Amino acid sequence: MDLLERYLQAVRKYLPWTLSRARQDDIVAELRANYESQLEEREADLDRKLTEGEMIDWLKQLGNPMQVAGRYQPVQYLIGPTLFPMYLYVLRLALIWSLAIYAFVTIVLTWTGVPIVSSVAEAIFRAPGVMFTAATWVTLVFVVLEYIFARHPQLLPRMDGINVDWSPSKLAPLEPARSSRRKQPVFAKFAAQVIFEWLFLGWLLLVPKYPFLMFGPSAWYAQVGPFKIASVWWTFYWVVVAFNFAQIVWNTMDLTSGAWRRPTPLKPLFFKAGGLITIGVLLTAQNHVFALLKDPAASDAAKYNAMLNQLNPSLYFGMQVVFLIVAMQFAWEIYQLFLDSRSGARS
Amino acid sequence: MTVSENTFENLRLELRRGCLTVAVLAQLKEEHYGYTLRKALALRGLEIEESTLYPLLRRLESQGLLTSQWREEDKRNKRFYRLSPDGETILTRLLEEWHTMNAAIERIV
Repeated sequence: MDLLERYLQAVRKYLPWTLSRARQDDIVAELRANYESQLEEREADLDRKLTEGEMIDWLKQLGNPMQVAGRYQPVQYLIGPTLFPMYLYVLRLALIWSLAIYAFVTIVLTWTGVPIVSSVAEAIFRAPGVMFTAATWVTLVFVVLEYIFARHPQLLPRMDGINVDWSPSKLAPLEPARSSRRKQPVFAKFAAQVIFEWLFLGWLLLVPKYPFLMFGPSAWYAQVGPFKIASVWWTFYWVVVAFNFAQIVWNTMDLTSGAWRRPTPLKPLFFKAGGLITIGVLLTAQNHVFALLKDPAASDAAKYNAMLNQLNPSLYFGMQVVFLIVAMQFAWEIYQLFLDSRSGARS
Repeated sequence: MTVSENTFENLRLELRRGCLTVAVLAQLKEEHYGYTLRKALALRGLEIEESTLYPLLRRLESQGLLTSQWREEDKRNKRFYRLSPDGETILTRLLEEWHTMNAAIERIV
């Protein structure tokens, strides 16, 4: 009997704290009555008291006190099935927007003069915290909404996606099928593309010797003006040439082998990565200098230096923004590829 | 437990949950306290754990489907449950649903 009392005491300890003391007493009293009836019946069958070992076996059969008490927990969702789809939708939006706003603010702060490398590193480490905070707030709001609507369902707002009286006519129009995003290739178009790519490469290779091919009449100003381009532009130029060359070789091989009929999603991804790398090369410019004076000792150097002090940081900021946009596009392409591969695997 | 066994167990519990409620409501057309109710159900082939049955009785009572009262029997206070008028209405509707479902399943399998 002592073991049964200890068992009931343990059950009581784990009963939901939301239950009143009287309610807890009532539950324990009911359990005691039921268990004692069962015990009496067992003892009557055996015609003796249960041994301690038998008692232990029986109590083990009844279940762990914590689990037995846990069954008295009212059925309560943190976020129930009615609100959950809306919760996921809002959570996704909140995460995307919090990250976008955070990225924008970080870029602006970085531009205003904080040391770049340390602030970017700090920003990256801080990003999960920002997203976690946004997710926590969204979750808390929905937990409160669930609590209220579970008790007062009439307060549930009339919103599409939540209420049962939604209208099919208000559903969003059909989106083009994902697979149709990739257009079917045509030989003539693909061959023309390859030819133009070769021509473009030839043009690109001629630019260092004949700058007017790219800059037109302003190439003359570059020759006589006080500025010259930093060495990072040459690195940038050769990386662009290398990626263009790789792209042309790949496309030419596809053209000759017939693989152009089966466009692979990896190819645009590769080229996008190439774009990211080339912009990344510019960001490595020493001291973020993209243009400098031909003759720093010239008499009017101070005037032109002041111009460069405005120009170089602006160029650097612009390149950071472009890099961020291309990086986001790249991430989006990978995400789309992942979705495509999943839907492909499913079908 | 393998994944398929785990899946089966979850589905089995899901299937059983609603049936247990119907069985308990039906059995409580007659008054019972927890232990005798469990025995009565077991006698008709429906074994149910104490840790499932007793909280279920509380839940059904709080939903207004059962009434209960403490009463002394065999020199011991016991809580007796019985189907409430609301419970009878709900049970009738649940049984109709169950018969429809059962007939459909019979035709399908």
